[in-house]
Amino acid sequence: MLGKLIKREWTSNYKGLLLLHAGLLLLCTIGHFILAPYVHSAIANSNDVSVSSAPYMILMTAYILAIIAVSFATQLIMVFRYYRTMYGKEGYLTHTLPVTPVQILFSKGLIFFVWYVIDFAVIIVSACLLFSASPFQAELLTYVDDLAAHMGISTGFLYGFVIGYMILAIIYAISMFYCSVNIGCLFHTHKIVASIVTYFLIYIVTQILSTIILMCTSYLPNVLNASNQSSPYPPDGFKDIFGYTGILSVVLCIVFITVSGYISSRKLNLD
Amino acid sequence: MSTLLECKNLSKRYEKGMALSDLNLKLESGRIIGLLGPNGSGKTTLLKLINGLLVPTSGEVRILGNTPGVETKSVISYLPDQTYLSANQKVTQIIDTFADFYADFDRSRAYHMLQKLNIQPSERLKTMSKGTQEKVQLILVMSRRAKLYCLDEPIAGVDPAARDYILTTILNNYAEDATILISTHLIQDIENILDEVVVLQNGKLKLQASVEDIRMERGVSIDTMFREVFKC
Repeated sequence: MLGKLIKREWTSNYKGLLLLHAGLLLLCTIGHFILAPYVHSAIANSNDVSVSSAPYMILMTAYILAIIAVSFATQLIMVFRYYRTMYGKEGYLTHTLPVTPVQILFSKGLIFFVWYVIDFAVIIVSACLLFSASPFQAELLTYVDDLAAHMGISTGFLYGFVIGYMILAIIYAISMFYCSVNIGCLFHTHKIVASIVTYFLIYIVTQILSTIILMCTSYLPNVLNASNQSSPYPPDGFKDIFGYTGILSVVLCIVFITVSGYISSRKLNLD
Repeated sequence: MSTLLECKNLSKRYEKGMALSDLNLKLESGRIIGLLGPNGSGKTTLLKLINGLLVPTSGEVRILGNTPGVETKSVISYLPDQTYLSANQKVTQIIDTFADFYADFDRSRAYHMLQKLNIQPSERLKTMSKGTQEKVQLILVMSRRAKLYCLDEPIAGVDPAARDYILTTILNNYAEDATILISTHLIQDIENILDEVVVLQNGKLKLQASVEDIRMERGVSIDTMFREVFKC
């Protein structure tokens, strides 16, 4: 049944989202031909930004905004679909299918995850298209090697760490979205507003928790000291802070998922 | 006949008050049962509780001995009182979904009924009238070989000509050991097919009796009895 749920979740709106991302990739390809020469020139002569480059800057801004808009639209579509199929009219079908609430949550979360990854991939491809063959690309790769050496780890491990952290960040974002909607829908009226307010409340609380962790580690004083230095590398304690916030994210993910599972199985009220 | 559904001290409270209050009810298999009552009597709430769409405030509901869950959902076919399918989907896509999830769904029966009612399977729901959408939903629900059919106002939105076909469809498409629980205000239209009535008032059980007994004892039709009991 889980496979069928995943199939149903994917087929429900993949056409629209694929079209959206294909459009962005097309825009990136066009941007590559129009903007890449400007980007290369700007990187090569960082002090020589002439007035004639203004149209390019506008195009670049529009280009970045388009990437953000597609990413935001993807998240909005997926969260709204979750609300619609769990607590809207379509919830009547979702919750009368012979499947468990956990299977429903997992299938929805998995497809959201896939779209997040596609989003990241499109953004990375668009950045590669923009910076391809420029000296910046080579400089960036060298910097990553140097950073890994500075941190005392291999470059491969650094890449693996960044990918792992991104996966955790995606799961965290999805579970927080779903948890907010589930809590918001416990209200009898204004469920969407309640979900949005819940999201921001959770966000504020988690930010406070992260700040407390920052204060408790050696990272914050190191950052303040490092602001007076010209080192290209992050200050000491950089690894620690990733460790602490990583653990916090995992704990919060478990809390969000548990709350979502509990509400959708024990507190469901399609009134 | 065996007990198919049992409610024990079932209550459901909403913000505005009690929708169901300490309801005790037993339904047997192989019956067509009318779930009657005035507006706000708790009919829809009861159907939602049976289908696991609401969590009881207290008490319990059991279907074939199980509380609402995967086992019960695979044997109950539920028609809500509103359109609940994605309007962007074609009828064929919805049929595929039903066939995927419900092992008891009979695809050929669904297509046969669609043809009888002149509904094009390739059409999207959003291009259909509200009445046609309701017919599609009823066809999907009745195309399952379920143990219990919960139909919430199945004929309210369709024209009188289609009602006859739908009632015939209901009669012709359920197995002898299955039970149909129909909530409706259009008592006159359905009373000829009913074996039994369950009447709710203010969330409590007002009456549960066979149609034959009511006619014999009171000498009136179910519709007349309802009008007399709930006269404003």
